[in-house]
Amino acid sequence: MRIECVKARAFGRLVDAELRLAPGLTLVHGANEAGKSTWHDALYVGLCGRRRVRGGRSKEERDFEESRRPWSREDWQVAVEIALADGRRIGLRHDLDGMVDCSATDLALGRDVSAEIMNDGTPDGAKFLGLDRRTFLATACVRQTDVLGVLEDPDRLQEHLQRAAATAGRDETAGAALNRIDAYLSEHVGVNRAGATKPLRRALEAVEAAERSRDRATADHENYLRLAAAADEAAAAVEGASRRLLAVRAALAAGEARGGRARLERVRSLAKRFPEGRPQAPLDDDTLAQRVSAALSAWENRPELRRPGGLSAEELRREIAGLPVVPDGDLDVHESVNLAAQELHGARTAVELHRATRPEAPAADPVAGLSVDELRELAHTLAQVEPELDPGLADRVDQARDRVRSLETRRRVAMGIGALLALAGGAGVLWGPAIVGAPLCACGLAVLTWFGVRRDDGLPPGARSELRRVEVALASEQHLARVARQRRDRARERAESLGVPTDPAALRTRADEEVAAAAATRRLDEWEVRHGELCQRLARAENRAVEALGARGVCVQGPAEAELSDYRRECQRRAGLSHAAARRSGLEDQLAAREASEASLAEAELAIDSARRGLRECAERCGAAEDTDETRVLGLVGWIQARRLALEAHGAAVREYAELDQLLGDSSLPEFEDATERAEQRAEQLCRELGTPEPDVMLEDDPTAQLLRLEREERETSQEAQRLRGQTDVRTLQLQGVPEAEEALEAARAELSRIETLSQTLARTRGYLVSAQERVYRSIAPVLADTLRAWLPRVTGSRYQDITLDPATLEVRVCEATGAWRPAARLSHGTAEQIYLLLRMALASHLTAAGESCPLLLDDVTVQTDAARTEAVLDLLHAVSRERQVILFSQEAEVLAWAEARLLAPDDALVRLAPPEMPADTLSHAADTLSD
Amino acid sequence: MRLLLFSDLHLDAPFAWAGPRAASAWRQRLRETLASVAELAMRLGVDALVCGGDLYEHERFTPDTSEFVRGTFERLGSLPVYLAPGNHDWLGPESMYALNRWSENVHIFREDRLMPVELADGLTLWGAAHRAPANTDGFLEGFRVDRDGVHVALFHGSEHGSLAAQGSGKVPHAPFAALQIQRAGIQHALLGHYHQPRDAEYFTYPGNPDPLGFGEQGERAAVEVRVESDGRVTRERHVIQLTKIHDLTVDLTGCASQQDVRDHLRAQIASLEGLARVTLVGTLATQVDLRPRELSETPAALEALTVRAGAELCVAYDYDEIEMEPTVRGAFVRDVRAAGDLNDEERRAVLVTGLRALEGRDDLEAL
Repeated sequence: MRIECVKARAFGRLVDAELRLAPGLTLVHGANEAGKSTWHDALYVGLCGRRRVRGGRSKEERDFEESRRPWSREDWQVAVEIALADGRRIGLRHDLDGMVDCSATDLALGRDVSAEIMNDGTPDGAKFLGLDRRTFLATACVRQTDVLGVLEDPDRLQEHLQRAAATAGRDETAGAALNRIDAYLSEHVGVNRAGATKPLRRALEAVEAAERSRDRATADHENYLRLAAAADEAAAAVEGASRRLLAVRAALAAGEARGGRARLERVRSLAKRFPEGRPQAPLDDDTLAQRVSAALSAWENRPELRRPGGLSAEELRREIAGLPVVPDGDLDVHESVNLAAQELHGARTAVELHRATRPEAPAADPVAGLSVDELRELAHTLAQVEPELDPGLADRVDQARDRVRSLETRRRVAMGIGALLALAGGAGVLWGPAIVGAPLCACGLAVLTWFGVRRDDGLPPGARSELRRVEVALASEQHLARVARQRRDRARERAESLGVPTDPAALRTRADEEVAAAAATRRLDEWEVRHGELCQRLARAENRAVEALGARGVCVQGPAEAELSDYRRECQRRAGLSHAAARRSGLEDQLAAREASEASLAEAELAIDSARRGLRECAERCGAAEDTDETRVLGLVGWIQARRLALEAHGAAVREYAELDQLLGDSSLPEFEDATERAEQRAEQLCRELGTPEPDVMLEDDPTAQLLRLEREERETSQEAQRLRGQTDVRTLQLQGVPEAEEALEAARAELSRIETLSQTLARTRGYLVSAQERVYRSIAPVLADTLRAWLPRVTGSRYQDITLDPATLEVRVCEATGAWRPAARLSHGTAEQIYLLLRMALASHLTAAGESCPLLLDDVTVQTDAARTEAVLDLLHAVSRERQVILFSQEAEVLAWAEARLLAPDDALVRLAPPEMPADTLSHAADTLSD
Repeated sequence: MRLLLFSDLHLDAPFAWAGPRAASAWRQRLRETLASVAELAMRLGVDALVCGGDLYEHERFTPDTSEFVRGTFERLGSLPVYLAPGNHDWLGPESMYALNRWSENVHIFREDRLMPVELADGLTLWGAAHRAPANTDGFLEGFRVDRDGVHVALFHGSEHGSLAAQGSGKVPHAPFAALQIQRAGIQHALLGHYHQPRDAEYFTYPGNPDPLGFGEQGERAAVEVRVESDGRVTRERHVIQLTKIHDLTVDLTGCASQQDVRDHLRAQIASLEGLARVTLVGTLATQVDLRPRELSETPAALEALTVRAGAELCVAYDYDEIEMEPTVRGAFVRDVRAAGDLNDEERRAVLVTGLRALEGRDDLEAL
């Protein structure tokens, strides 16, 4: 896109003014207040227009309107003509006041193309570039403050890139957007953590509280229903109990009414019988009647006279007086004494029997200093015979000696021969023929050697050993004979020294006698020991007998056996006396019984006499005087019976009167009649309440108990019903509305759902934004780097050869000629502003629709730079204008001078704005003056 | 014989969205509706008042409501009232029906099978009760009248053919088919359960006499049913509705600010009374900071107002154009529009939230 001209019908101070622009670089130069900013704004709004909205405008829009509305005219209009890359020429016209007469027209065809670029109700020429009026401002318009911002804050370069990458520079960076989302999430959602105060936690707590409240309300409601049902059931139970009680009461009242009526009839009947009141007693002889009764009773109960048989009391007393007294001491032999006596008898018998078995004393004395075994050994030694020598053995020794001597002789002869032969042979060697001498000598030496050197001296081996064997045998026999003889001689000497016979048989006899005597002595000793033991046992038995007798009160002075016999005799004697004395008790009992019976007999006689006197006296008083006791009794009995009949008649009358009294109580007959009527009326009333003419209830045997039970039942059920009703009433007052609780819960859940949805939406949004940011950064970084890489050496005089952009952060780094990489933000101001302008150009290329080039509008971007930097920037812009239209607004003389020197028509143009005092619409279009 | 039929009053029902004050007032109006039905019965001089169930809600009814219902029917004097408990007011030992000491003119069907009551010579009313909140079998299964004359049934049940018209969420209870009515020997069935009124040839659903929510179709009425001696039935609906309820759709297209929205909305509801639900639709300018919850501040003339964003409400971002941008913004819009794991509502929320964040706005909670 290239902007060809801008026409201001009325715009700020501009009226019917036109600004024509070159396709390359156009410098619009003028002093302050000459109208540069006005033309800048007219250019922008002529291309992009203003949005048409209902309602209020933003402050930025209001400020624009205030500063750019025409000072004196109403037709606030501006128009531009542009040439597009596709060859079309478009005329854009904007009615900035009413926003109605706004259009875009294809100048060649005269066709309205507004619909192609409509944005917020008006045509927006930036849309031909793939931008809109906001992004065009951020992309194509470079203001002095933008450059200054980059110079003053190196990080602004990166921020600007990020913003451009995020929203083409119109809004926030993606990072700021993400921070905003995080902050919103933190503030409007928060975390679900105990103690957190943000909405999510509050909503969760609110839901929990509402759930608890709802659960409580529901539970209360259910409890209420259960309680109400229980109360209802209890009320029904009360009703049942009351009805049962009423039925029983009605039945009782009915029975009472019937009874009352019957009693009333009875009272009336009795009242008729006793018109005079209480009946009077017919007799006053009660005392006599009692005496008669007593007399008859005494007579009837008089004792019977029975006289006892057997000994009299006196006889018995005499017999008792003749009885002996009971002796002291044992009547029978005491068991301990019996045991002691048996033991003593056993011990005594044992001693006697053992004494009869005493053995005889020993008959022989032992030989002093010699035991029986030594005697027997001595006899054996003396009895031994000396061994005899073998006679043939001496002969065999002689023979063997002869043979040895013979053999010795032969050996000596042979050695002589050998010596001779040796000597002869030696002589032959020395002196004779050697052949003869040598063998002879050898033979001789051999014979000598053979017999001289042999160990057996040349004898046959059997001869010499035979000689040695027979010599040993002979010597052995001779030694044994000598030893036997020596032993016999010593035994004999010892016998003689001991004074015992030397005859072996006598010695053996003497040994046998000594053995027998030793056995007798041993038996006697054993007897003595046993005898002592038995005597000791006897002594112990005697002691025990004495002790037993002592324990029974016997003073022991003689032998124990005699004392035991005396004790037994005394026991027999005492037993006899005791048996006689034992009769005393029985006789005394007999005496007492006899005395009692004799006393009873006397008393009976007295009682009979008294009863008879009573009978007689009563009979006289009752007029029944008879002759005998029996007739008197009959008379008195008749008198008593007649009297009883009279009394029974009177008693019946008294009881009836008492019944009348009892029935009436304290009431009079009319009162009784009234009470009966009232009872009947009450019964009728209860039956009416019951709803039946006759109560249908079975009265139990004890109706009072039944009534009490039913009253208790009614009271208890009534109390239970009242309790339940009271609880129900209380619960009713405390009852929370279930619908209200459910509504509160629903509201809390809705709020929680909203927050959770918000949280989810924010999280998702964040995820998509992060993903988009990473992808766009990755794609835009190489594009920008490529653009800058092409320009960088040229604009920096080859000081920097290469450039990179970090895909993650869009940080720009440049490479020095030395190969060192440096952050672009830390470069010199001149280089930084050049890189910034190049980036703006690159971004404009990147953000613009394919095939189009976006013009750059620069407003006083060199005002803060020195001359050298200004020239460098201008050179850069001039170079850039070969690819895209550049429109530069400036007030600086250096810039004007540079333009006059460098700009060439028709690609470039220089527009001088008139000073402020001149009319605003006066332009000095220098393009025509530029040299070709 | 003339009967006045009503059902599904749902006394003590909750109204979650309306807020405490309006919900309470709504419940009170349900009571007044019952009083109006009773008054209508007296005014029309019908022979009996009959209820097809769901008179109240068992889990929520208060002692006060219980006494109110009892008193209302008692004041009808000798006019018979026949009640057939439904699935919401099912008959149990703790139900209102069991706890109340009803006046003698009130007859409650207590069996879970159809039981007869002779309304007039030759006219029998067969009624049944739900004895549990769910799983009640159809009352007409295997049922056949056992006597001559005209037979009318009263119960709470779901006619198969009418279920689809009730909308989603309606659970069938005690289901039956229309054909079963005739097969059972019944001339007409007076029913409850479906809230949408229906006057079919052999059965009548009166519908709830007062609104229970938004979106209900048909008149809110009680039905006067005339049963002729030959079994023919004629019906006349008497509108009872006390609650004024409005379901509006407001187009926000052209509103440039929240104030515009408020003014526009206020103009739409200015003349309304009762309860209103507003569904916002249209294309909203991007700069509008719209928060429906803050718009639900109830104007004086209305009892309650709820404002919600409709599915058709969108923000005036030109997504087609934005996604052409070689920027993060463009890539973001492309990604979100292409995302397969988002539904339309979620997609719209993410797009608006992301674009607002990029614009540096603080109103990130999208509609």
